[in-house]
Amino acid sequence: MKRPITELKPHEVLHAAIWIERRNTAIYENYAQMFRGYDEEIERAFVEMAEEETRHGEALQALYRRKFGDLACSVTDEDVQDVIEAPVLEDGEVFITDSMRLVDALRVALKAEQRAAGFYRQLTSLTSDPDLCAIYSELAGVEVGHEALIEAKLTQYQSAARG
Amino acid sequence: MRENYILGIIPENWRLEITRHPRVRAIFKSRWMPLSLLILNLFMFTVILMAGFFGGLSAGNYNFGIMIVWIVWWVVLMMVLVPFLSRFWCTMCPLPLFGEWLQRLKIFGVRPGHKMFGLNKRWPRSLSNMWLMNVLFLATTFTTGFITTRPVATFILMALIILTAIVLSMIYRQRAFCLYVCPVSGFQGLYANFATVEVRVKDPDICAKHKTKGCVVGNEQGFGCPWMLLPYKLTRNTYCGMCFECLKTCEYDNMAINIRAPGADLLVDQKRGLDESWKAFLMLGVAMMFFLVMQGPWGVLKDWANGKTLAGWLSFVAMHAGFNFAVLPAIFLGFTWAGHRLARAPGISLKKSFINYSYSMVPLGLAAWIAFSFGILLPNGSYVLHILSDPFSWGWDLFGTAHFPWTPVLTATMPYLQIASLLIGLLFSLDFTLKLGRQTYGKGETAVWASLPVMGFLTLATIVILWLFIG
Repeated sequence: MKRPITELKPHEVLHAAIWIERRNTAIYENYAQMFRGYDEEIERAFVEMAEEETRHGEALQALYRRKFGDLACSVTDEDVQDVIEAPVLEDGEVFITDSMRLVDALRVALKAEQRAAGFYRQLTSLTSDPDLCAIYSELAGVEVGHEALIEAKLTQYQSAARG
Repeated sequence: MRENYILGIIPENWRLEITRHPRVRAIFKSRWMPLSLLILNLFMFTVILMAGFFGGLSAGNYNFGIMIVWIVWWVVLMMVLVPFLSRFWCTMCPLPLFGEWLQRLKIFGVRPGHKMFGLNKRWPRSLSNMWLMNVLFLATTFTTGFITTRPVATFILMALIILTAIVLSMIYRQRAFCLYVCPVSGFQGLYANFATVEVRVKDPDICAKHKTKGCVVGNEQGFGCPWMLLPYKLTRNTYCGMCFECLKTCEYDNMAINIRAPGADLLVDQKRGLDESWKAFLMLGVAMMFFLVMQGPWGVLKDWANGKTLAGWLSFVAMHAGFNFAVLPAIFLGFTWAGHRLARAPGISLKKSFINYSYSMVPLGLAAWIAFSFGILLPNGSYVLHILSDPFSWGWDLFGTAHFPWTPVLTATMPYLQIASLLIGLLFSLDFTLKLGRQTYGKGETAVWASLPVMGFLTLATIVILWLFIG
């Protein structure tokens, strides 16, 4: 049965966060598949985002091992009620009106990371458990780092487009 | 009127899901829906094409093709399918069928891998809108005098459409023909925003977390959306061809068919553009021109449209195109500008106001076509009984109705039906004008002042159409 993230223990939150990154890998791979044969540049961007999410997942796995060692956990993203960091293509008619540009694809990822960072930050203010608070802060910090990476890519792309 | 209510009665967000009934859901998840309807229609269109071919230049009122297409199909489309069932005609339209079967290399069932046969090219970006459909629809109406009266002209039109659909499906991805070229698709798309049925996702959170989006890329249960939509992000009916492929492919059964308040999508402030505005002008304008030409008091206009002389036909083309593409939009711009001046809202552009308010014409345009359809159906509907029994004018009498005489029905009541349709359409249009005004200018007096001239335009248009109908 799905539970709100606030009901999870610290190690369960971090374990779910690992699976969220894996889920996002699959979602970006799916977006890349959607754009295959349609727009090579955007397909490549989503493939890179999928690879980035895989790296995020591996980094969170390393964090889990440091904090909790070999502690077993079966909680995944499927067990969490909340929608966290899900990258969403908002425009249902994107292929019909041919309205997606590379910058829009990057913004999909940026919005997902921003939502995640905001979500974890909000949780730090809602919990009184110091261990949970620490985990949420750490996750918020990780997502802020992801945000910064994507913002740098966006800036790089926009400068290249202007120049 | 109460805000957030259509005509002050129906909540804008009211929905009734019909697919919550397991048997109903099972019908739409079956691959026989819509294949069974398509096969039936394919048979009908084969007879239509044959009747058109064999009918040649004979009288249209005794021809199966003319009667079924321009009386039965057109009337059912405008009076029932579009206003109530959105793009349900597209569900069963046989015209792009051969192209789609060629793409899929399958008639029934799902081909693993889903790689479509053909060049799968991307449609040109500059044409990824309704403009081409606007031009093609208008061009088709230039030939109304021929295609609705000469069977071979209907045959040529249908054959051209089928061939175009096949060729385009071998070059471009999926339903490119239906999305960007089909003359019927454009107005169905715009008017479907008024329809009382929709296909929508039930719980967006399920889709947000869903990794594989089978509704877009396809799976063992079905093909990815042939209309190139992201079904899980569908917010308006404009481009949804009601193929129900997404109901089949959704692994979470998260797609639904809902009955809803009329006009709900007219208030969706997404993807509005001048191409759709012009579609609204064309539909209202063509209805007015058709009334004027076909049912009006000046026989010379009918002669022009029927191409009695080349000079006359060219005059009709110029008048028709000029009115629909330039004059009517210019008049509407004048009224919108007046409202914009009254509103005194410097942060809102006239273009935004013009585009947003253009959607208020949809209910009135639809009502005008319903009223026009009464004028076709009631005087001429009895011919259908004859052609059902003798589709090729070969002296058959399949159902014993071949000698049924021409019998106009309820023609004395017709003006009242037309008036009622127009007044109901006007009522909806006025209601949506104010709602669109609030969307554009915010709540309060500003929206009311901005909306008043547009309401004036709609009322004036209704008076003109009423005068055309009943003299």
